[in-house]
Amino acid sequence: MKRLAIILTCLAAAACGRYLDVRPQGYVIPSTDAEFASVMHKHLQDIEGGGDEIIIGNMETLSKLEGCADDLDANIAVGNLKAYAGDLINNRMTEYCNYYEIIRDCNIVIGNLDGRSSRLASDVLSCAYAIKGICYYDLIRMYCDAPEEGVQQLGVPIVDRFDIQDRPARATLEESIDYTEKLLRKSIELKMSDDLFIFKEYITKCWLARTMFWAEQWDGCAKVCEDIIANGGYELSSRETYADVIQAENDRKGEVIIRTHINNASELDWYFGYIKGYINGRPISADFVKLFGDEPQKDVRYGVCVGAKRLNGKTPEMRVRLSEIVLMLAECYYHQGKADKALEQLNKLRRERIEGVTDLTEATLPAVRGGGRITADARGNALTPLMQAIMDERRKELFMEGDRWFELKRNGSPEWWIINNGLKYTTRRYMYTAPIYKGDVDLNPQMAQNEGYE
Amino acid sequence: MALLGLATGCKYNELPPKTDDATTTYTLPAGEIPSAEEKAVQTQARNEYNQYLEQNK
Repeated sequence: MKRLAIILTCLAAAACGRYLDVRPQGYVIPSTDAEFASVMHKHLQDIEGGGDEIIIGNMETLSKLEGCADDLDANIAVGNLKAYAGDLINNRMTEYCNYYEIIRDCNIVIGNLDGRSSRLASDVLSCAYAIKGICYYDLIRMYCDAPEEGVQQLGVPIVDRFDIQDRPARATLEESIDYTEKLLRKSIELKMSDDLFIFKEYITKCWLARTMFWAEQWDGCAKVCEDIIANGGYELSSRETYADVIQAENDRKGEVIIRTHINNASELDWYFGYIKGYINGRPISADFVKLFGDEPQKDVRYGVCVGAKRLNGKTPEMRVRLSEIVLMLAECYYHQGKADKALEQLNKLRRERIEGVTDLTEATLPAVRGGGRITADARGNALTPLMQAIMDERRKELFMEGDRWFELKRNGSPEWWIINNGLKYTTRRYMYTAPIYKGDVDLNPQMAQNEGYE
Repeated sequence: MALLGLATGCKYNELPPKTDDATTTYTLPAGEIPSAEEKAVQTQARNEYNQYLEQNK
């Protein structure tokens, strides 16, 4: 009997063997260059397949940004988009966590591949630095206030290496911007040229230009934009090819430097069909249409953007295009006091967009319109005719590309309201800056939440 | 006792101990009742759009 009890006890103990097995089942801990490359390939596949909502963004990302902005008029019809920015407060906290999950993956790659000498290791490292830099750029734009000169502002937590126990507090905005530029430059220095890893030198330079533009580093931004325009190998698309370039469902064409959703690896085309329907549930605002003047049909962008019943006609995809670089350069020149060079860039773009256009000169610039939502530029100065002209061209050019929300934020963060189901909802100034994940703020007393969120 | 041990399969609790009970979401701002002037602005936007549709049939 005693022997039987011992045998049965041993059998029971054998059934408990798994309790010592603490390895995650079914996963490989990376060690070779190729295994670390697969960590990045997961994110690259999301970008190419259109499933990435975080790094470059996709149609879903775009629909949220356009829902918060005013190119589509929610006072006519809210439709199925989010009514205004206040509806997205909690979604933005989830996205904050998603950004840091991607940063974690990049840190794992950087921490292990830095110093390895193979071409593959260098390319994967370049990709990891680029993606991490882009994540930080997105975090700064979404979770920090628009830069103000001479004021110390809150940035985002800088997570430099993978450490499961680390809980960094928020850096300053200046530190966050410097860190972002450092990451992007590290990627650029590696001169990665493999299309497989997407973020080649001149593509990453676009994000360096964007970061410096957001940070109001006009001199530095102008130099990078000039480099991209002169040496990037891209040309502005003409009026004749514009529609084909912009409306391409899955191809990168013409002046498009990078875009998402170049294949259907994410198998989300059925879902994107719904998103396009949601966007077309809210008409384009009258203010936007008026930008095209008395002969709108002469501007190729009008025909692309404004569809039947004044609903969106443009293929809504996240892209970086040479037009954006030209517009950034124009604004940089403006803030540097080089009005003639700013006009030169503006006219260069307008010639490729408007049939029979007459170049703008300082004398012929239209006067500043009253009653606009934006009344001050990024530096807080009142609009001038040239600044208004740059903003108008930017709004027409980058319509339905996720730009308008950040333009509103960058240029004064104006407050405005919409009426939905009989109640008024106001986009308050604080809503332009999304909340940091509440769980981090509650657990770490050194982590300050953005103003307005309780 | 041995049979009881076999029957339980000797599972272990994988969940870490709960350390806090804080909510992780914020209350969304409430809407306000619009004034008559504000409702008029919305009506004007809708009328302008309807007029656009009429003119562009």
